[in-house]
Amino acid sequence: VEIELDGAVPAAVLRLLPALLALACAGLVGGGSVVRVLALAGAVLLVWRPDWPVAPIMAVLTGLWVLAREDFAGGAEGPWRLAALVLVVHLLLRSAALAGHLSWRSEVERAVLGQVGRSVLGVQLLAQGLLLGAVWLRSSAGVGAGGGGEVLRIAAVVAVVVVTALVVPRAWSRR
Amino acid sequence: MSDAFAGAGPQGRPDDWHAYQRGRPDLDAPVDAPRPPAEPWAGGDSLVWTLGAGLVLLVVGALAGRADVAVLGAAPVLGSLWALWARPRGEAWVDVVRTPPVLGEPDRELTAVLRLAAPPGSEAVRLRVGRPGHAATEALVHVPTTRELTVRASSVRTGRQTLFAVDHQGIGRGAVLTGPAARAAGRQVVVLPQPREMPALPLPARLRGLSGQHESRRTGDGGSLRDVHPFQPGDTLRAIDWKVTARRSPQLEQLYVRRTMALAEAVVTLVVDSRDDVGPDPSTWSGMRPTRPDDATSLDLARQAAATIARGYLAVGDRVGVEDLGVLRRALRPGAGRRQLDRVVHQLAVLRPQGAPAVRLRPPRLLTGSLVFVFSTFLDREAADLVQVWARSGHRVVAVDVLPRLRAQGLDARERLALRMVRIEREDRLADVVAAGAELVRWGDPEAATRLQVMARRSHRRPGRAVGR
Repeated sequence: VEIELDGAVPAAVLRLLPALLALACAGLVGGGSVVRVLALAGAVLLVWRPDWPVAPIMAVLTGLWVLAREDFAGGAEGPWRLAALVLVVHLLLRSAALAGHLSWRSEVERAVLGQVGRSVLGVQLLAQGLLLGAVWLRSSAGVGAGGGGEVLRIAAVVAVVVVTALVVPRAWSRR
Repeated sequence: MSDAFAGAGPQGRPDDWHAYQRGRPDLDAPVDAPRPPAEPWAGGDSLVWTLGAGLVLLVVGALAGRADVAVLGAAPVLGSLWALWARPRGEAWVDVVRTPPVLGEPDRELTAVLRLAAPPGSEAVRLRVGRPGHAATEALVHVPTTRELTVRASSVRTGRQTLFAVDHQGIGRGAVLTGPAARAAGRQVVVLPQPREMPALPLPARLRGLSGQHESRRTGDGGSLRDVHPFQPGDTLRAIDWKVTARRSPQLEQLYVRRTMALAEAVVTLVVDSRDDVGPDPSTWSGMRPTRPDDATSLDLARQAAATIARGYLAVGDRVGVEDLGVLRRALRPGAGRRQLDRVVHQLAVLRPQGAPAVRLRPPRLLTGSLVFVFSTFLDREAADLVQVWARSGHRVVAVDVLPRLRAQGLDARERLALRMVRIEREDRLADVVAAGAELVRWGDPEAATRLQVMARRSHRRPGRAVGR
């Protein structure tokens, strides 16, 4: 059976993409052989079972590894590396979610990839804007570099409250 | 659409929602009637895990006062929230409509149009398209509310066929939301046989009627010169040949008239043996294994051969009828004209084996002098016996062997032995058929058309007489 598609990409490419992004993520955060082994195991799991929640777990582990570093965003290359990491983690989650719907033999239309790319771009613009704000705060007031994070903490608590209010269904708050 | 449903689209884009509502096929309600909004799609595990990971990073980064950690979770949280806010309502719909084949071209593939409709907010629709005998194909396609996609599968089969079955599921933004999965079952469609061009066809032993395209042996109007004959009572004055009269009877004691051949039509009966339908692979004859869709079965060949012959005769104004050996009732009475060709082709397309056929006590009744084409595999005696009965009763009979060219590869020793015995018995039957006076054409051979042309040339040499074996 043949479906006439307007430009199609083999799903195998998209099934392999999360694994490559996982390895790229490990390369960006640096670290020793433990990180590389974990990234490799995660990459294998992502290729084997993309429907398993491997990508979110790897994102959390990446964040924890960054947290363990003293000053990940410090130095001249720090902000650029952090910006790349934000992009790669986001792409990893999106591509893994998409790969979970694909079998090895299926095909994906380019228009679908274009739509995915546009939505990633929109969210990335917001995320990178936040990153710019964080870097500006850090450079101007030293916030977020391990000390003087009260402003960020307050903002984060407000954000969590807002997010919770948005996510929790309204029916739960009704009597 | 009423005001109550005007904002039913989750995106606040009423145009898209209307297009989706119009594109939903197979609904009982009128197309423009308002329908209640469906339930929004539920978030799955992927959404929970992505949102959870983002929130964990945000909270950990915030509590630790690390903006670089918190900002890592920003994009997943924002993306998940956007997907939740924009989650579609309703479900994706698929309707499968067969594309009619191009007339005159060999029908080597089955094509259909998938009419897709997805609710606004869908990022893609996941499809799995399959049909019996073919491996399923999966694709993730973009559906901007409505869309049409062409699907094709190679198939040389005719008759009742199952169209494509489509499993489909809408996928929301971020690929973290999925709609309800559904299945559009494959419909049954009738694939008509495509007749081929046949330059010439044989004529029956006797022509019938007083009109048609063939010259009979009788005297009449319309044909070419038969002879010059003395005038008799009943001859028209316009038929008097004055030159011949002046030459043979200068004193005008005898008038001479020019007599011409009468025109007549042929009556052709197509007898199709629909009791078995076997492919070229003998290992599929038991029915345990399906026949490949790119293998024409004996009934496919019979349909094509009968349609080709019917088209050839009907094109010159002859009458063609259809008899089915698989049923006791008459399939289609002889008739002429373009619409008769449509009836014949459709009748051939719906022929199929229908369980164990009833025992036939006497052969089907045929019109006197009709030319009989028997399309059969001759794997049993019944068709061969009927051919012999008709040939001995004076009909001109053409036995068309429609057994496909067999593939013996892959058969084990016992299967090969069984096939050899079947072949020997079949050859004996075909020899009996030829010995009884019938003519044999093997439709699977490339020389089938040539053989029919040779038979046609012999019979046209002496109009209305069955000649040439």
